[in-house]
Amino acid sequence: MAEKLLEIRDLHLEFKTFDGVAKVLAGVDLTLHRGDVYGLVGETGCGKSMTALSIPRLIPMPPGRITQGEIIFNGENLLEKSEGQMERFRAKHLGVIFQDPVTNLNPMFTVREQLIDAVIFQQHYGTTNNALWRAVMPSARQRRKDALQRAIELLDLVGIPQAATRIHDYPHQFSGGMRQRVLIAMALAGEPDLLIADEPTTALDVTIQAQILRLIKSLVKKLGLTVLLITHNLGVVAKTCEKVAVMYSGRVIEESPVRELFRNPKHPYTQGLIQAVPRKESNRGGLIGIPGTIPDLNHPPAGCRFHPRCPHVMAPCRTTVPSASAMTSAHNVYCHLYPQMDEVAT
Amino acid sequence: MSIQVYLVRRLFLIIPILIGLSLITFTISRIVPGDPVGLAAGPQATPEIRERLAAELGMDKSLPEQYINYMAGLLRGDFGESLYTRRQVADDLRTFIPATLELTLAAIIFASAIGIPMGIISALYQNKLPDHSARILSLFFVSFPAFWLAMIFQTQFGVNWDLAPVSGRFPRLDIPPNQITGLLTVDSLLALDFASFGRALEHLWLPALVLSFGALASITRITRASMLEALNNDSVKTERAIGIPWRVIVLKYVLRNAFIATLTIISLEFGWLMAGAVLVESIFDWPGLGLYLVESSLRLDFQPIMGITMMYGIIFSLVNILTDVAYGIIDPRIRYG
Amino acid sequence: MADFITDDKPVSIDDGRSHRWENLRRGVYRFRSNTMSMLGLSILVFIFAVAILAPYIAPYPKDATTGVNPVARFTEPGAEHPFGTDRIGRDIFSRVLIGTGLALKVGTTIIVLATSIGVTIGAVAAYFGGWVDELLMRFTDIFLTVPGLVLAIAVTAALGRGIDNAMIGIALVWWPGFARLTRSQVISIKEEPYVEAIRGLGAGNLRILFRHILPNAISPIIVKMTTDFGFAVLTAAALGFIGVGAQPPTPEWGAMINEGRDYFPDEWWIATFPGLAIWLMVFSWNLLGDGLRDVLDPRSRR
Repeated sequence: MAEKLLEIRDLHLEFKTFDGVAKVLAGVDLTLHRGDVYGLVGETGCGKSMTALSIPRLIPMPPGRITQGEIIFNGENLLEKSEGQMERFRAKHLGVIFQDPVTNLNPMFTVREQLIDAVIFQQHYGTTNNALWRAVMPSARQRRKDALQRAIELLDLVGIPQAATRIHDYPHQFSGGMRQRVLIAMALAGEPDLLIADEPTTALDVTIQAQILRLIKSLVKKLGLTVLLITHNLGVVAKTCEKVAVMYSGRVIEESPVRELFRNPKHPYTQGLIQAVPRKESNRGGLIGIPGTIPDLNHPPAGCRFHPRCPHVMAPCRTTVPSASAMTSAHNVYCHLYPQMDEVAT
Repeated sequence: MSIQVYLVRRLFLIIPILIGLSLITFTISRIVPGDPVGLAAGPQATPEIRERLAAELGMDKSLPEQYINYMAGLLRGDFGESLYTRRQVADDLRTFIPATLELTLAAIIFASAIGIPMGIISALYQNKLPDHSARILSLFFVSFPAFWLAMIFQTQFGVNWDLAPVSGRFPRLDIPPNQITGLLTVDSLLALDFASFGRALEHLWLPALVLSFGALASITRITRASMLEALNNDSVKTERAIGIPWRVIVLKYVLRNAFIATLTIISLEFGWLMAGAVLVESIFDWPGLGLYLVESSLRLDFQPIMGITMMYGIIFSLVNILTDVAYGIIDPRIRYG
Repeated sequence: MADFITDDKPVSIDDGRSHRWENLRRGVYRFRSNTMSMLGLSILVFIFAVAILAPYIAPYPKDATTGVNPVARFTEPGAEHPFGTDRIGRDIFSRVLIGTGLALKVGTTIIVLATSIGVTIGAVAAYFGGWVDELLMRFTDIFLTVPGLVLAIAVTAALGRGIDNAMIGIALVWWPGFARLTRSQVISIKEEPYVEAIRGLGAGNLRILFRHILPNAISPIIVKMTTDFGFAVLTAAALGFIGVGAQPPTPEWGAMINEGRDYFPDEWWIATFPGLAIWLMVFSWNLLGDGLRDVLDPRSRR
């Protein structure tokens, strides 16, 4: 098996709000191996984006607070790094793209300017002491020239036609899909180990969605990337990922290879989720939803957070958080319907 | 649309506003006082003197005729004649405008140089000590009556510490630099006359500093608010996520985004400071529009008052146009049209 | 439990009244935890108390108007005259105290006048739109092209010197800010679905505008009234100072500074204390307004 790249262990995240403390993440476990294309799915508010943003430590603190857990990347605990070390870490090892390509590029600067900065700061971080100095001083002109070459190559790589001329345009002169490509290029400038894609296609048209997903897949092959793809759309996961984790109200409730999950979902929530996906053949019956609503994070239900909506609810569900039950070597489910690992062990 | 066409169109658009303004000032000067000729001639004037004066001033005609005559004069650049000094208002305006512009510009530069950094720091340390201190400080200073503070500073800096001359724009007996822009600091620099530049600056800094306090609070507040907005922009998250250093994000990207709102307030404050200059000028004997306005108002000399008001309107409209042009330079999304 | 709750209220159209209540509750909490605005409020309570009590606590109440005491002229601040005396021996302390009420009156008059004119014009322009809007706003723009103080000096000079004319003059140049603000508020609110719904119920234009739209537009207007109060007092003082506003012997702070100007800095107290009084007044309104802005104006809330 490939080496472990990222391991999130028992991550707890809280948000202070006017109405109290929201327990946004309550013990997230997640493991990515090098070369994985890993999907993280769940409804809005389940904590999937918060999990993703915890890795580059982009969650504003306060009001956010990580109360427990660790995030191990290549053997280092990211939560122990200083802000300066984190800056360097993000530049060298991480690429992140977000949902809305319209707002994520700075409208006042050309793509060239933004991409060159991405190249310079990701590739050369730490080679001289003062990064700002390098960026603004004339002595850095040659470096910026080189960076421009690299930036054009990057735009080529992400499939922007006539990259050498388009690079001088402003973001508003690009379409939504093209802007997302630019953002991918910026994320990839420093050849990162891990690309975190937070709902990268949600704001795009369906046809453009497919193109972007195809692009990400092709980049995985070309560059040997590891991808963590966050989405609420199971279709996107099915098309793109090899492994997937399902989140519900701040916890991972099932993880599995993608095919296995679709063929053999174990958690009642996953089952409901897969049934809820509209299919051609079941069109007649209309949409099937999961009854009930997602829990209030200020006052989450005790035990398994899904129990108030679960059709198979039992006594332990109301009191005890379920631990992992292994279905196969790669398929784990966190549900009392299945023999609990720690119980089996004892 | 090209910028030239845009400029021409904007210049045409200020014409109706200036016509409206002239109607208002005309109303103030001819209708409100009831008897402008009587005011001009003085209480002891005989009916003959009054009649002659009325004819001389064109005030024996009907009000619409008077207005048309006045406007016709304006088109030729003729602002009429002061009833008190008998000088051409246009000549006086030409002398006084540069002084006020220089003072106001210097004050805006001071206010921006203090207020923008204060706003940035406030935003970066939102709701922490530097933020609260900046807020209190700016409110503290903006609350002073400018004329009172001018008096105190004049005594303290000018008399007691001898750090600045107490009045005027330039030493009375020295020869000022050749007039090009009318701004003494700029003219002396253009003439490479650094001694004159020093003397002009020496006179300028204290009144400008006092005047700048009036704009400090709002420049700080708007800079803070627009910085916060720009910092909350998604693109900042992206820039951080891909590893662009925080100080580059703040000083390069966020600052430019935040500057649009700051620019708006700076151009608005320019108007406020031109008004504040009225008071500061009268303390420092700064020979500008404000001093001219105060003197004319106390003498009820309405020809200059009308001219001065129109001039303020013209300057302020031009500043607004300049601001809009500046937006276009800063923000690539803006197309003139 | 849920069985006990019956909903027999008539269906109501939500124009935000319940939200307003909730926001008010949070607002009061935020306001009270804001030290600066509480400080501003405390100073203002003190100022109002001084204004009311001044005729009783001022040691020489006559000095505010007709009093003359040549023997005691130019007395330095001391036990007898805490703020000293001026060139005809009037007690500065008494004059500053009694001037407080005048300053409050001036501020109130200007702000009430300016708000009534501005809010009406802005609301009507925004609500009716079209040529009404165009006409009223171009008219407003004309006033906005000349700095308020400049026009105020011209108007007051024309009307004749004096504090009453100064108040009118200032109010006449002060309303455009309120008109602009109200217009932008009303424009954004009138598009909301509830307004359409109320119109569907057959409510008249004026009723919709004043009962249902303006109450939701009021917060930023209140904030502006608060901060502007201080600046209105300041502007009136400025007119008094240059001589077109309040005339001696009125105990108006700006006019008092003008009177003390010739004796500055040797008899520094004559001009200094009225200046500090103006500062305190403006500062406290600013503090209060700044706190209210945090509480009431959602756009600046962070």
